[in-house]
Order: sequence, then C-alpha cells, then structure tokens
Amino acid sequence: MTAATLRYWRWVHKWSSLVCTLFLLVLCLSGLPLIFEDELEDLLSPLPRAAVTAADHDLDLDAALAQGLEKHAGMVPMSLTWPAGTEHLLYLWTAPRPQATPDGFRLTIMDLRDGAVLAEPPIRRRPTVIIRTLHAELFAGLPGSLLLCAMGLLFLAAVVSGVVLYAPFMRRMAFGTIRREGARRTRWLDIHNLVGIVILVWTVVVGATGVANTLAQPLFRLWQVDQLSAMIRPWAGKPIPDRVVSVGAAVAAAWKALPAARPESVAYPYSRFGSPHHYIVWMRGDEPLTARLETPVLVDAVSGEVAEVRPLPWYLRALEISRPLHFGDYGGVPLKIIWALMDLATITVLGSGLYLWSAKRTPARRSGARTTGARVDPVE
Amino acid sequence: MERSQKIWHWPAVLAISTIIGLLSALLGQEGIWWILSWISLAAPLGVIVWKGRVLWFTGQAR
Repeated sequence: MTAATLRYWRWVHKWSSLVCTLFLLVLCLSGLPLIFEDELEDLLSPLPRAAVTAADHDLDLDAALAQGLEKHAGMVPMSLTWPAGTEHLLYLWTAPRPQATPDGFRLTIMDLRDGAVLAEPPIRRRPTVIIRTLHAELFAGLPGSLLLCAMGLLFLAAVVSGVVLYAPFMRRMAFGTIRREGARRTRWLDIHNLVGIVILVWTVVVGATGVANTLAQPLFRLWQVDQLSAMIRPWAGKPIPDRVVSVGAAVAAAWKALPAARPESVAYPYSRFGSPHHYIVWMRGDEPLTARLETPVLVDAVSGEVAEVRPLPWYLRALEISRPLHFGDYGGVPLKIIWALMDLATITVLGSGLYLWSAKRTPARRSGARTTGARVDPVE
Repeated sequence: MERSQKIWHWPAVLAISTIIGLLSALLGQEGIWWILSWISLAAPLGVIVWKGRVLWFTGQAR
C-alpha cells in the first residue's frame, strides 16, 4: 500500500468514526437492555397465567374476544396479535374510534383458552418501549430513523477502513499482541485493533441489519402504496360495508388458504392499516426461517372469502429475514448473552477509538507540533 | 504473500467461526445447531479474554 492510499484510508477511518461514534455509543448502550427485552417484560409486568382453567385448547376466537371487548364498551377493535413464542395468548388492540392513529390504541392481553383478560399494560411509558424508541428513532420519528441509517452507513465505512488499516499495522506484530510496556496510548491502540478485528463480522452483520431496519417504515409504506393499493383497487369506490363477517370467520378463511402457516396478526377493516373492505390476516410459517416471513391474506369483509394471497415483495422479505440477525433473539438465552458481550466489546472499540483520537490531538496541539515525517504506527 | 497470510490467518478463522455461529441457529432447529452457534460465536470472545489476560496481570489496563 502506498503512503498516499494509506493516508486516504486513515482519513476515511478518522472522519467516519468521529461523526458516528457518539450515535453508535447511544445505540450500543440502549441496545444492551433491548437484547433482553422479553425477559425484562416478564420481570416488569408478569402475566397472571396461573389463574387459568385446566383447558388446554383455545376457545372459538369470537367467543374468547367477546369477553375482552365486553370490558371496553365504546372501544373499537383495531387489530389482534398472536405474540411469537407463546401459546394461548392474544393481544387485542382497541381504539376509541375507527381509523384512530396508533397513539390512541389500548392493549388488552387475553387468554384464548377461556377469554380471560390477563393484563392491560400501558403501551407507552413502559421502560422497554421508551428505550426502543430511543434506539430506533432517537425520539424523533422517521427523521430520527433516517439519521441513524446515515450513522449506520458511516459506521460500516469506519469498520471497512479499519480493516484496511489493520494489515499495515500488524506487519511487524503477532496476532493479538498487546504491548504492556510503553505509553498508555499504545496499549489502547493494541486493544482497539484486537477487539475490532475479532468481532468484525458480528459488527458488520448487526450494523448492516440495523441500517436495513431503519428503512422498515418507508419500505412498508412503499408496499402499501405500490402493492396493497393494487390489491384492493377492485373495491375502490364501493360503499363502505356496514356489516362485516366476524374476525373469527376471517381468520379461519385465511388459515384454510395457508394451512401450513399460522396467524400472526389481523388488521380490522376499519383500522388504518388495511382496507375498508377487507380483513388483512398476516400469516407466518412454522419453520425457524419461515416463522419470520409474513404473508398477508386479504379476506373480503362482507363475503368472508379469501380475496388474495400475495407474498411480500423481496425488500420486505429481506428485511424480515434480517431482523433476527440484528436482535439476536433466535438462539435462546445463551445467544442473547453472547449478543450482550459482543455489544460490550463494540463499546470498547468505540470508546478506545475516541480515546486514541483525543490522546493524539492533545499533545500535538499543546506543543504546536506538526505530525510529519516517518511514522512508527501506520494507524496512528 | 506469506506475510499477509500470517496477518490474516486468525482474523479469517474467527470470521468464519462467527459466520457459522450466526447461520447455524438461524437455519437449524434448536438442539445441536444452537449449541454449535453458541460455541462458534463464543470463540471470538474467548480470544479477547485470552489475549487480554496480560492486562489483568499488570493491572495497567487503564
């Protein structure tokens, strides 16, 4: 590598890192509790599941729901969710009026075996939700997500340039050497290089899937505008039905169309997420990989018949498959612990990088010296 | 050529180990695939601890 290319890569590494490091520190610190989000939720708001009847099979969906809705006279059901990794549980989302925005939603957690209402946790102000909002959008909605997308791309540039600089740095050193003697800065430089190169693939995978996730909202809107609107176009202009089939009938129809899948969620006809003429039943597979792939089934809300089953476009499928690789929630608690340790290692690389930059600047500025001439460390 | 082989030997081994770890739990069904995933993802972390042990002996990490 010539001196000029080396200088170029050093410049890329320095500036891409400097711009993104503080954002990445926020992401790493907020991401740490989110790895254990399920466990934290169980701890913070345990569900009184023990009180349930001896029955081990679910009631008819409509019968089970009737009890939950009875408690919320005047509220309109917006959607249902069957939470992943659980059995017999149903999340019922209601709102004060049709077409309400998610801000007004209320959550009721129900037991499908007897229709009992288990809990009505607040949707906002939950610690995990607050941390997730910080992590995903810096409390700034879509602009926040897009800013994090840019920071994620800079982080990937920092990682790539770091790898390029690793080789000339290691020319005269054995792998993993940490020089104990000498300046503190040298020691931290060795730690920065060792930890950075060792967790390289993990940081690239989690970084890239994180960048992909920042685009989830725009991509979902693109699907709504591009494909969903085409799917419901034949119903455009028809009067909005005043009587619709029950949600139980709609789910049963969707299940019949995709027998190998199971329902993941339903959007009611009068919610903002669907079509006024349809229930949209989102089905997911049963295998490890297909469990993350959702397929929307459009059920005619008047006839109760399946109108269309159309797999998601490639960009949403890619996004859905990439999600577990970001969250680390696909290999039990040991995998989550590994994710947390990798996260701490990333914090070490970020923190040491910041230190290396500031420790180099300070003496140079004090003495007014210019950094010229031969260098011992190509990375310095 | 030999020198760059020496530089990249361990980083490459750990990169492959990480990739195996990330994929095996994603594509395999619980059991043995999960255990393979934990072991191969723990390898890079083990290297950090092993190589970083010199810092504990001197107590000069900070």
